[in-house]
Amino acid sequence: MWSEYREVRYRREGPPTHRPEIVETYSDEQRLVQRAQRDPEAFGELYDMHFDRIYAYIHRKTGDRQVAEDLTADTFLKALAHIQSYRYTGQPFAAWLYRIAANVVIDYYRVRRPTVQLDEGLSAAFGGPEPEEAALALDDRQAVSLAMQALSPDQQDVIIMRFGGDMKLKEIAAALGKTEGAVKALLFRALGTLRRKLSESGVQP
Amino acid sequence: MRRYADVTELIAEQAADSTEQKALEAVARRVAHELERPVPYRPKFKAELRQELLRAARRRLRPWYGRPAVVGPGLAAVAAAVALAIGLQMARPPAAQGPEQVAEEQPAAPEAPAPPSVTGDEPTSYLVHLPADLPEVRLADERTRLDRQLLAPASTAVVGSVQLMRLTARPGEADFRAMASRLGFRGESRRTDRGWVVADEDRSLTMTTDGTVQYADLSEPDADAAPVDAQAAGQAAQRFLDQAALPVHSQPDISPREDGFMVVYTEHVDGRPVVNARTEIAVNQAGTVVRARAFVPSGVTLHATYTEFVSEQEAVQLAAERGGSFQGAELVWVRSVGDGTVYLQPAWRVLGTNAQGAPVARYVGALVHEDSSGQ
Repeated sequence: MWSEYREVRYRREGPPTHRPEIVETYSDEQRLVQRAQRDPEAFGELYDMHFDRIYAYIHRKTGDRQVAEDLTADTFLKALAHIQSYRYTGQPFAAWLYRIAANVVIDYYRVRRPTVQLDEGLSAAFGGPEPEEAALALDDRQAVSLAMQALSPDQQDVIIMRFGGDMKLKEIAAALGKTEGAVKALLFRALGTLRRKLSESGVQP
Repeated sequence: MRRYADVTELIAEQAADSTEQKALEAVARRVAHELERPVPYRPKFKAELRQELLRAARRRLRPWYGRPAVVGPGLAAVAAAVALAIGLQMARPPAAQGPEQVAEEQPAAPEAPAPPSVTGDEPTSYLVHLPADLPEVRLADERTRLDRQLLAPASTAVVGSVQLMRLTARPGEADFRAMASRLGFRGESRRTDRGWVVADEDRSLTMTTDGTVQYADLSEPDADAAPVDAQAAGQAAQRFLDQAALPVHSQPDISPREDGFMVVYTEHVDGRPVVNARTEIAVNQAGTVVRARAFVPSGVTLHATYTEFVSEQEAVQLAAERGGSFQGAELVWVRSVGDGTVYLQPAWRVLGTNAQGAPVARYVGALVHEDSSGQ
């Protein structure tokens, strides 16, 4: 019953971590994670909560659906393999998952150069617009994806996690193994680069 | 931008003036608008990955489920995840799509023959295609005694499926430098056709991009040092592996040599040996590691189960087609390097005699691409 309610709510309102009342406190999530360390069903609930953002992050980084599926599966398999060693450090579980996903993506690119140009990947990952908006949105979207291409991988991570994953800067720092100050610097520089690139594309932000 | 108050605050703190501040806030709004859009995914993928994760979790988190054997639900449990991960098509049609799900319609996968039932009521996941870069197993015949015991415990009969492990073992230069540093090399490393090499006066270290590590120390042994025994040689080998961060998970086989000892570690998977990836470390009588061959540790990332594989009987026939007479086979693991991936793939170790009548173990791949198997 609860599970059905959760699923309906999830579809209607987005992932639970995107809802303010749950972002405020991680105690429920912590209990769920603790349960997931011994209860497979609880791990399934964690998967439901975080699949969208992890898949989206990987897809935006790789731009290829097959690869995104591959690496998403890899990420959650690794999470399952290491769930017993997870310790609460004051950051949400998503930060831990993002860290795994980021390493999985790095490993992927370490052994295999990207076959899809990032601009294509980001374009593909930005999703489909409504038909009536398509013509106008295409230019903007392409412009944003092209601008994203100019960012360093770390800057892309910060931008995607902050705006696409609704992560706070401190949480992003935990996910990337950096200080909050470093993340702020990355974010500010990234916004500056995006501003310049969008301007070069003739797009007024 | 209330949701992004921290971003707004950061911009306000660091922007040079109000013009830049407004411009950066506008950029942030635009990027947020684009990135907040959901990324489409295949509902079938999400559902199947969830299902397989739950199965894997049940085995992992509830130990009384038991470890997966080479055959059975243990392997089937991870198969679908791998099928999706490797990008192979599975036989089941796409799942129904909820009206509010962010998902893409997918064409139905082509029909595939139903696999044999392996595990009771559990739906059996299976793959019908192999990764394109899975190398053919090509190992030389191994001289052996005809009555030699099979290497593996072979307590589990291979009936319905065999497993492939896909590894990520392609090291980079950073890995090599880190290892060289840990082993005390101070010189500059250089790139070779196949990897990297570093050397100092008497020692050298090489790593190839397939993860093979070779070390040599040609310095003169300390003539005054007391000769070490097998146990000390094993400890010296272990220290070397620890220092190089090359973990092994098996007990060493230590054999005396003329100039010291050879310490060999054979990795096992599900109780069956990886026959071509043994870690070999030569230790001299002074207890110094003088030569080593090892493999960069590979986190097993994905598994795949195949229900269409070369059976033991077929393996015996295939071995005999290459000359000789063969009686039986056991399943072992072979480390093989594909274009972008290092695999652990199963192979049959077929026992018999070669065309000259000499007892040998001949290796036949258990996973064979259809065109090369003649099926």
